[in-house]
Amino acid sequence: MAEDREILKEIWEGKIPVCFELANEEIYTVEHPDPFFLLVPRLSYFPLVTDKVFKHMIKYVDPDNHSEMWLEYEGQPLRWHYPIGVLFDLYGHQSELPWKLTVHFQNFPEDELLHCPNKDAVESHFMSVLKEADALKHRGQAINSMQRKDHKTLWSGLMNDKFDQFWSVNKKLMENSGEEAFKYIPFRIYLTSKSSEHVVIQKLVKPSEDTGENVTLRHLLDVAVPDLSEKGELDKYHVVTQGIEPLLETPAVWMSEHLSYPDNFLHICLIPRVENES
Amino acid sequence: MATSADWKSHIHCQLHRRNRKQIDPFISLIQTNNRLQEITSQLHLKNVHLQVEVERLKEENNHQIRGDGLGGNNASTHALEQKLFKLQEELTEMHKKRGENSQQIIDLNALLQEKEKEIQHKDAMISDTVTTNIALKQAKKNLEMTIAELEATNQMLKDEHQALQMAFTALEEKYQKAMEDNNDLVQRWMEQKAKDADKMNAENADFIKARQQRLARDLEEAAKEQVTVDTNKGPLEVYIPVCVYASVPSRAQNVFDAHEGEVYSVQWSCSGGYFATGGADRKIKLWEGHGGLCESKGTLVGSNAGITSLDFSQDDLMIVGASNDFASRVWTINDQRLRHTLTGHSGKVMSAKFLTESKIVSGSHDRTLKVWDLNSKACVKTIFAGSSCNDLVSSHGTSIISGHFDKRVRFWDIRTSGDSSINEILLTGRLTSLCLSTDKSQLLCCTRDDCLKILDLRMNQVSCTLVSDGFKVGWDSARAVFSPDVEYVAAGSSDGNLYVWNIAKNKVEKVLKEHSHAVLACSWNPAGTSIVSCEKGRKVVLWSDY
Amino acid sequence: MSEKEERDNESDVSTPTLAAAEAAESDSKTTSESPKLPSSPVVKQKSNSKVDILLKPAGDAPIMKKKKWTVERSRKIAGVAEFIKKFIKMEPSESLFLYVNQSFAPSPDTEIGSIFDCFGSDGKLVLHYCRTQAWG
Repeated sequence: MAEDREILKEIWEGKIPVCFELANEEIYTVEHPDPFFLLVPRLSYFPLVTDKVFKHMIKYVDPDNHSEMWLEYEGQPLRWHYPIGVLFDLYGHQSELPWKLTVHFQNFPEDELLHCPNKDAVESHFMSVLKEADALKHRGQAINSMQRKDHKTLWSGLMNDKFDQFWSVNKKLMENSGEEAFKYIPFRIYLTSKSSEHVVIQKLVKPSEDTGENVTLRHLLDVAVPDLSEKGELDKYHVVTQGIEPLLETPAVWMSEHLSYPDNFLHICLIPRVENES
Repeated sequence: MATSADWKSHIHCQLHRRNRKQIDPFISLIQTNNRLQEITSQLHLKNVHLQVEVERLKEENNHQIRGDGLGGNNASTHALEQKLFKLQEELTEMHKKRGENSQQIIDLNALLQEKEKEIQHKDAMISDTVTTNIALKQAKKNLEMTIAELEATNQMLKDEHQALQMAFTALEEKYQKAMEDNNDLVQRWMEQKAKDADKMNAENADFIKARQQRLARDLEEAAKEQVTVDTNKGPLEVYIPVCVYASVPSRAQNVFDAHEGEVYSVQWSCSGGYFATGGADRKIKLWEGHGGLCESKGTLVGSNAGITSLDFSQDDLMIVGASNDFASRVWTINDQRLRHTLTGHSGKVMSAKFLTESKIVSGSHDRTLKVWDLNSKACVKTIFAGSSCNDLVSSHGTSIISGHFDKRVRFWDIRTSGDSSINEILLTGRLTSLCLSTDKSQLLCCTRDDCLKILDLRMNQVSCTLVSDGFKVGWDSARAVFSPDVEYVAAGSSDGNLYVWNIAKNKVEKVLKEHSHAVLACSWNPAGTSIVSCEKGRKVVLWSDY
Repeated sequence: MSEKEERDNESDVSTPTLAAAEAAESDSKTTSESPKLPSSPVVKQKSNSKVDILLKPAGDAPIMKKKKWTVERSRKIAGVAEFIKKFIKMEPSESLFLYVNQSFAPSPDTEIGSIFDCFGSDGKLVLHYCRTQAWG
């Protein structure tokens, strides 16, 4: 169990070095801004960590012509409501570090991104996903039995990068024994095609088979993406979560308990292997 | 745990590697970079500040340098400068003054505007006042017109008043004159009356004298003649027939026109030798029946209205007639002269009867009964009966029975003082007539509800009620009578028939048909053999079988 | 509630599709919206399959006469919300919230298919819509 806790700690401490650069066409001043470097937590969300970036970049854009700040990686707008780690696994898995992101203040891609007016929007989104996860795990009973201040503790633990604070509450949500055993495993699979578009797959998967056998990551993928596993094409994909590729034998329920993001979902990315990759 | 070691250590390992690869190389770099960036921005800010400072210092320096360079031409320029300064000062002064002036102008303008506004205000006020003035003038004119109108009206009223005053004076004069004339006439009339009285007295005296003379002569003659006295001869009193039993006549023996209008009343004399009728023509006529003929024995005049009731005195010497002219009158039969006029009622007199030879009682529509004394020719008692009296009868000289409009029969005794009746009996209809039986023990009452009731006076109750299908009481003073032997009752009906009931059998004995109008009254001959009845036409019918 | 559902089941045959209703709607209006959804190979494969959803009002939201609709699996929550807003005649600027299980609001880019798989029951998915945030 000490190992488990160490893993939780490692997961929590996962960070990604990011280099923010203002989009060239949006530079308004004569002087070009320096790129801005940040080491951002994987488990967090971009709107929670980019205040400084905003302050730095806003000085160089047309003050009369800018809207909400949004980020882009190699032409791909980044959804703020995905955890940063998921975005990196999806798009930046093979990229050089630090991860170079372009900052935009214009031409908001309405079709692809959701607006994020303030941090409250992030919080309400986060809580909603958390509830969904609990609905799957405990029919929503664990989260509903909590008080509002517990919700706040969860949120501020995440915002302020306080592992102990967060887990003091989160452990109740992760309760998995007896009455409180998980009904289903909350997970989302991001299936990326070569054009770097992706599909989100979410299905009902129980923690154990009817035979009592634990469901492994492989079983989970069999259920979630039957097309791929039937054709044996699973080998052509990296199965990535939290920046690592766990063995397919790993029990799904253990993954859910330890490798889930703070929103209590397992976010698993299926990234196609590049031809010349060994 | 041991079995899971593989995948778990794999994960642990990878995580470890991940963090080492992604964090460790960058953490210090990024931190340094961030710090450097912060410092840069601080320096940048400082730089900007310093540049601003430098700029400022440069400016200052320039200024000083320029000041030092101009030191040479100091003397001439100084004077010029001073001049310039003065001029400038002057200019400033002028400007100031101009400013002041313009300020003044502005002030004045403002004042002017204010004044103008005031004037406008005043103008408005004046125009207001003018309009008010006009309105007031108009009002005044209207009021004047009203006053003129009122004055005209007043004048007219005054004139009218004067005219009326004059007319009044004239009328008053006329009235005065009429009064004088009246007084004159009254005086003359009194004189005439006194003369008449004297004449009457003289006549009476003559009459008495003549009678005495005749009596004396008769006595003388009688004394001369030898008279044989018939001892069988009865007393000299009037013959009063006694009826053993009455017979109901079935034939109209005689029908004749008695009066020139309705015949209200009919009454046999006490002796049964003749009968009297009274009518709307204000006359009382006396009739004597001889076989099939009725001969007029005389006419009693003096009444000013129709005769409503008749009654003979017990000795047949006098007859009293009640009249619609509010009076009752007494005539003597022998000389057929009006002896007494009994006035005092304030309504028509419905019935008048002899109480004794010298007392008469009358009942009137004015709801009073009055008792008259013929000796003193005055009303000796007035009884306030409370209801209009339609008929009355007397018995024993002191008691009176009266029948009233309020359906009551009242009993009075004239000896008692006060107005209360001794007794009263309530019947079912208004009373039209009363008739006392010969033995004075029964009273026949005719009421407007078309029935006849016989009161037993000793029992004070109704002993018999007589009705008939055709029998209708037509008016308020229809009269019904007992037969002398109190076996029968006769009454006239509004259908023109005379109904005769048998009391004992309590049924109609006979219906006598001859009249062509409603039968108003009837009277049974004291001998019991004939009936006389009168009607609303002019006819009187004498019913007799002999 | 159960009665209603029974009645809904009866009228199952004539359940209109959201797309058809929307098409009719956009015919009458000139404004073009409802962008064509990006379709990946997998989506294409399933594009024919549709699911039934039941729309129920919560809070002061107006009632929809037609509650039961058939929707493509690939349609997103945002699309359904836009449709409801039009159907109950709300201003585009007003916000509408959709709830699953009466507890959480799925993010607008979530596909109906996934939610149906996880939270549908008896062959249909119940969505509550309201104009203010109803649950948490």
